[in-house]
Amino acid sequence: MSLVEKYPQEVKKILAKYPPEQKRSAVMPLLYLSQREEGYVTRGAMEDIAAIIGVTPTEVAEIVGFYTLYHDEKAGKYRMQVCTDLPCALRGADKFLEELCANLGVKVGETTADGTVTVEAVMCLAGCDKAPMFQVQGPDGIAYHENMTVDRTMELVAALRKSGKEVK
Amino acid sequence: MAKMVSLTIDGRSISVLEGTLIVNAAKTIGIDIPVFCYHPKMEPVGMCRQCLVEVGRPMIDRSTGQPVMEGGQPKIAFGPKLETACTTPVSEGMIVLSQSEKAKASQKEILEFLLTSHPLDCPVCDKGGECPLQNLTMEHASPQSRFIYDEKHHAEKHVALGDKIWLDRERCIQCGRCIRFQDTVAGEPVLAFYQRGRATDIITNSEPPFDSIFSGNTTDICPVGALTTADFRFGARPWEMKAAASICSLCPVGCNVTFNTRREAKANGKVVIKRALPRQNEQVNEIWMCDRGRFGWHYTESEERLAKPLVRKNGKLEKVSWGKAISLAANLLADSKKDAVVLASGRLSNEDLFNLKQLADGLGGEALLYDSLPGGELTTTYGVPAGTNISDMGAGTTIVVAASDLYHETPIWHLRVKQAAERGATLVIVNSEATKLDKYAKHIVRCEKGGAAKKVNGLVKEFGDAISAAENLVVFFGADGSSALAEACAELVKSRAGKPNNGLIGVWPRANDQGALELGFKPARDLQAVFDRASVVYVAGADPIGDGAVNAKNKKQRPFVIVQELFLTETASLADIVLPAQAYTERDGSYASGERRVQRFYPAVPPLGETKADYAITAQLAAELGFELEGRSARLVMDKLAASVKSFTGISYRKLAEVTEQWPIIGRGDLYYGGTSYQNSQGLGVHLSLENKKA
Amino acid sequence: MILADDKALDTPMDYASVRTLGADLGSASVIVINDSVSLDWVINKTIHFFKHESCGKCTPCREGTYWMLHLIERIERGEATKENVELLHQVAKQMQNKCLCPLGEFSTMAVTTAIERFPADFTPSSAGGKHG
Repeated sequence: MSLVEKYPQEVKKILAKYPPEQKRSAVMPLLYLSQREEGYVTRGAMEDIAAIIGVTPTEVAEIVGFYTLYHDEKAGKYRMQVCTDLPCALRGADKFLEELCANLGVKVGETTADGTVTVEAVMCLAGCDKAPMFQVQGPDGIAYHENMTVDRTMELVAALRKSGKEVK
Repeated sequence: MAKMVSLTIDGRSISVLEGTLIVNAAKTIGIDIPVFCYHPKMEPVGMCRQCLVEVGRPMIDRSTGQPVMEGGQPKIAFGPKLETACTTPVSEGMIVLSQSEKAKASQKEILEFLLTSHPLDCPVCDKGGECPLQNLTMEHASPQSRFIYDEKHHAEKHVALGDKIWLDRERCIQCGRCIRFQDTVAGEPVLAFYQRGRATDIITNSEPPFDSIFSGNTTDICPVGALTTADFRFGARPWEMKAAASICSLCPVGCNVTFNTRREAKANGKVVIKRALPRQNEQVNEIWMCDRGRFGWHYTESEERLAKPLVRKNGKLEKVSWGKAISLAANLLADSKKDAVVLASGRLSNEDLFNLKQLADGLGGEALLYDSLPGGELTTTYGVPAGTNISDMGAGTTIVVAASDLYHETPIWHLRVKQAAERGATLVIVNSEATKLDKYAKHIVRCEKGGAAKKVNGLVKEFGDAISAAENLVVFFGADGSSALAEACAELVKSRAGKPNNGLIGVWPRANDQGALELGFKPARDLQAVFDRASVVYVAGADPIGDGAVNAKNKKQRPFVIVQELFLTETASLADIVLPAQAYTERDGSYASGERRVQRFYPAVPPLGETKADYAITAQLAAELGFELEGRSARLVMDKLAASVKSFTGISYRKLAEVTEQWPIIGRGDLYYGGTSYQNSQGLGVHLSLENKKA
Repeated sequence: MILADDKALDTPMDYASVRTLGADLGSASVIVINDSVSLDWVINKTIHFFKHESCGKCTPCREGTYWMLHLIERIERGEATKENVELLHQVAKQMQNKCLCPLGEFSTMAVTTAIERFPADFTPSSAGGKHG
């Protein structure tokens, strides 16, 4: 199914935000929309979006490649993106990430065997004073989890595994 | 009056037009500021930072708005940072230092940065010997690297971008020239950067990959060996090759090209063509050529080329001597006289066609132009005159393109018309199908196949001033089934005949239809009837039977056929006499482009076997028939031609070889500036005059 | 910009004043660290950030942040020589006043001042030093 067929109302709403002669400006929200279900942007989605906004699939790919928000490969259902930049690291983020990975049985960048969670180290999420912290990127969007410990994170993972829904 | 600006570069004072970029201003006085990402045919982006120079400007007192003076001179303030010469326009009183300690250190350091990632590929890289990175490294950089080799960035080295271009991601220096060329010059954004930082790579997502008929040009402008052609890859080293100026033979644009040749052991000691590169002619193809022309010359070296004359004996074609073949052919023609028909195509040069016409006239027979546009003779009266240059067209010019898909038929015209439209020209397209030029058009008129003429007739009514009040009007026309289209188009431009940038341009199927028409050939109609009534048909450069224009099965009214060709075409295989001709790469000659510019081509390789030039063959035939035609050299034929065909008056091979300095400066020692297109030192060509014009 | 003296702490936090210290204001512009943290570890973090965020357009930042990262990682692992540290300093200096945007420029400031003011943190003996 094409993007317009899957989300007709959302596509319409997005396009309405931009002048009709500048449809190409809608590329970023459209890409974010297309990523929702699978957690990554498929080649087909890039071609869909190119057709909607009147540019080439190559030009759409350019945006996908540049921004860390967009993924071009499938990973776990939820991406746990832990900030390990300087301020977070000063509050123990490196150790947190190491222990979390050990608990989940994966290395940084890898996905758990059941495909639920991919653990990633990312750059600054602007939650410096509430570190260790991470964001969860999943089918329901992006949510911050601040002031986390490994134990509470493992509880979150369990909840994600069970209900398939986020627990704040 | 355009405003001039005075400034000083490296101690030398100059005065240039306002808006000139520092890098170009320096070029006019022979100062080559090193660049990578800058290209004179594209907007600057200031990315590579190689062109950083010290820039000082007169200080202005903020309260008075006057320059601060010091010792009688304006006080100069240099910025805290170096500035890129490619993005900075000149300003009054500016001081630019490209050779100061700071500037030289910067040039060295930027190169050091580039070389930390660039692989040591020179021994296996096609670009070696014509590589801007190599040249600039030798000139400005340190021979030692401080980077630890094991930590070098690695990337894919052999990525196919379609079937014509190879990409080596390690060699890429992320200058963006290829992407910007595709986006802004070609109008086909099929290349892009993927990821960012050190991981930035070139990708293409089109289907097929790198889907553009202009893709080959990116290998000319790539400053390293990242983009190379599959056609030439590992072919030869630049210093091993010789260069021969030529004109592309595939379409009426007449792109100026240069063939690079080399004598090779693996070709049994023969000199062969290794590749074709564009040659600069700002009025015809600028510094570009399309992929069809760039890779489409191989047919001249095919194993199937005819090398010896053939004559039919007992139903089979047998090899004979030239003397025998000519004598037999002459006999046939002598017997037929005015029932002889000369059928030639626009693949032949002006010299070849002139001699053929002379022969036909001498016999009292017909001279027909094969498979051209009906009504095309109108271009000899209403074609574009000297002074016409698509690069000069912009706001105020209306360009009509009728029944023609320029992108596929004459790609470089598509490129130049697109650019004219982007400069403000009003583009009106009349076509039964969508074309890639549509998105630049102001008005698109759809019609049925064969219905373009009718629509063209209605253009003035529909668009009024856009057509009739346009300062300049140029009409490109293609095939619409009858001469009605040419006539309708001629009507539009009639009153403007003779004015530069006005007139009719035929999108001919071959390179030299214009020449044929100027020389008096008539476009052939109903070839079947021609073959049925003629007693001898002398076919040169055409394959009517193979193309289905003539049915060979009619045994009753079958003429004798003499074929002068490069290959044993279907027509040739059924002919009585086959005469092997030289390819244009093996001899001199000239073509008249669709814009009515006569351009010379020079031999690149020695002739094959016993082949002779078309004009020489015809001259030999004429001699046997008792009348004299020049056949000793193309130059001499042209002299005769120019003396008898009015629109060619004044044209000579010497005049055709004249050049004037062109901008941008391409292909001199300063390779890094414009790419590997060749500088044109063998002739810009001469425009035909419009002798037939009726006021 | 790495500072460690009282003069710095008494400076008003506005653009002009901060510039007199040879520093500049920006996002995350003030991070307070105690002396249990080794500066080579800190610089590794900042270089890593800038290398990740570099857009890749201009040569000094694209190549320079990559080069600096390799050098600092070598230093942090204790495999670097004094010349390597000097080279890191030089690479950072070499990027300055040449970049297309301030990101490249800013990536160098902490590097140069950290090496200049805390050379002891960049010696092999400090490798694997305490950090957060």
